[in-house]
Amino acid sequence: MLYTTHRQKSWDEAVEQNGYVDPEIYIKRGLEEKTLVGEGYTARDMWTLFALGVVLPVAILIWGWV
Amino acid sequence: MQNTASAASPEARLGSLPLPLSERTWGGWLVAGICATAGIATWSFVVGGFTAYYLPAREGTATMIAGALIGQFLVTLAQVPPVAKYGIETLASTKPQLGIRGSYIALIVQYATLIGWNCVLMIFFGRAVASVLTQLGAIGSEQAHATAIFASLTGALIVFALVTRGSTSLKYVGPIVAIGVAIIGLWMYWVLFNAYGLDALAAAQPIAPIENDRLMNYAIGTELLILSTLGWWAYMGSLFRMLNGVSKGIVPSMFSLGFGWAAVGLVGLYSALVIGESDPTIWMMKVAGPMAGVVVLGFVALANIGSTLVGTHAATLGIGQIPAIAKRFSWNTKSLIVLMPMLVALLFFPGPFYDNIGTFMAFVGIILAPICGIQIVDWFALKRLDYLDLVALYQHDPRSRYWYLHGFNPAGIAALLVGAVVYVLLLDPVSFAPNSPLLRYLTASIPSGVAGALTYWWLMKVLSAKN
Repeated sequence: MLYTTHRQKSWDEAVEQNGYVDPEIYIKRGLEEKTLVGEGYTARDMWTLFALGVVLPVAILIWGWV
Repeated sequence: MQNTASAASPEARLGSLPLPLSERTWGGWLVAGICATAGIATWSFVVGGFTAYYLPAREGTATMIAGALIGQFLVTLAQVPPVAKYGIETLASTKPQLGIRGSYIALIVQYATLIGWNCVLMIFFGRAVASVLTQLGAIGSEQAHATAIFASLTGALIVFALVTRGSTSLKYVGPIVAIGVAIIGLWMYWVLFNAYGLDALAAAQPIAPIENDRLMNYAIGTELLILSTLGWWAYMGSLFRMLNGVSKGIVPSMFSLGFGWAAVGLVGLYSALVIGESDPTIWMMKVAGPMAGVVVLGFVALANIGSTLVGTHAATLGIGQIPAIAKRFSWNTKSLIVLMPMLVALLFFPGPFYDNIGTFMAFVGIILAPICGIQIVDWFALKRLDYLDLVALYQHDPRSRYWYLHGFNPAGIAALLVGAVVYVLLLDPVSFAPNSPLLRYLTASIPSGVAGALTYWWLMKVLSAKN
């Protein structure tokens, strides 16, 4: 089930008679209940990405060239 | 968007709306498997074969892997942070940069990329079926064309049946396809090395390199993989919005999608160098016998249908951003709308479509590098990732903070144009012939992305100061 009883009310408010989910109601309720937004990248994530996406390919290109 | 009573998948209930945290249930390993499903397909062999025109084995290996990692780095930075943090898909992530209406440019690019490549994969699949059946003597050559069309349409219908189940089908199909293609891929390596040996591979010369310009060939080989890998941008929302933690997406993105598709492409590079043929459905039968062709056909079926499934899923999420479509059509109907142009192409003009796909994709490709550059600057230099206004992403009127000028962000649109112009000044996207000697030092996608990024950053500063 998508929501608990309390959250079911939010869902019911967002869902119109024909089944269409109003985006604004859905998102506003989700932000209030903190059910939509997760974490971002940490500094460690950025360094890992830099190592895999810049340092490693440059090293491989040097290997291939020499 | 219709909220079907018996819907099992998040897409059927929520369409392209942000997924709640409780629905983001995919761990790193599952995402890695689905990334491999998306990335590995017969396009890998095509790119490997193209690389063989310019470079021998060692240099080609280096440029393919490095180019794929660089391209995937740009795509990962541009897409994984917003889609994994907010549960949105690719098109929604472009609205802060391009504007509410300007994001339809991104929709055209995304749709063209996904459906264009889906058509290629299904045509490939159909031709592979016909080729193997012809070589086995099951059908005559005069029946090959009709057989290819029938097989392509069957593959497309299988994709439709799977995509109606939304991300649930990705969850179950992904790991199966990933394991299957990994096993068969390793077997193809073994067959090739066993038949020809490393010495023959190391000695093989490229097919048609640029004369007396080793660095230019090296740059073109690198650019080929960067540009091709940037195409994953269109898939990222579909792949990563189900992730249950943004950090878990780094390794799957870089290795499963970036490195993975290049690693399989190396089979195409090596076979083109030593045999003169990159299509494994042809060379495997010659080298390892008829049954090998059947096994490779299994690879092609798994890989191409898997990739087409992910692409169709992503495209269906994308068109769900159009309010008129979101309100009126269910997930299943949207999937059918997405697939319809592909079915028409497969049925009525597979040959002309396939022969001109390079030109078509080239003009799509010159937008991808600046899109990534613009998004990276927006999220990290302008620091707008932490202040993304989710409600505004779904307001299609002047109330939205992303409305800008009549729904278009002039900074984003101008930056796309600047990036595309820089690309064409460096490299002809159709013929892949260099337009500037600077290409040998810069490639084309990287300066194109940087130009787009800097243009966007400067214009956003200017426009913000004005307002």
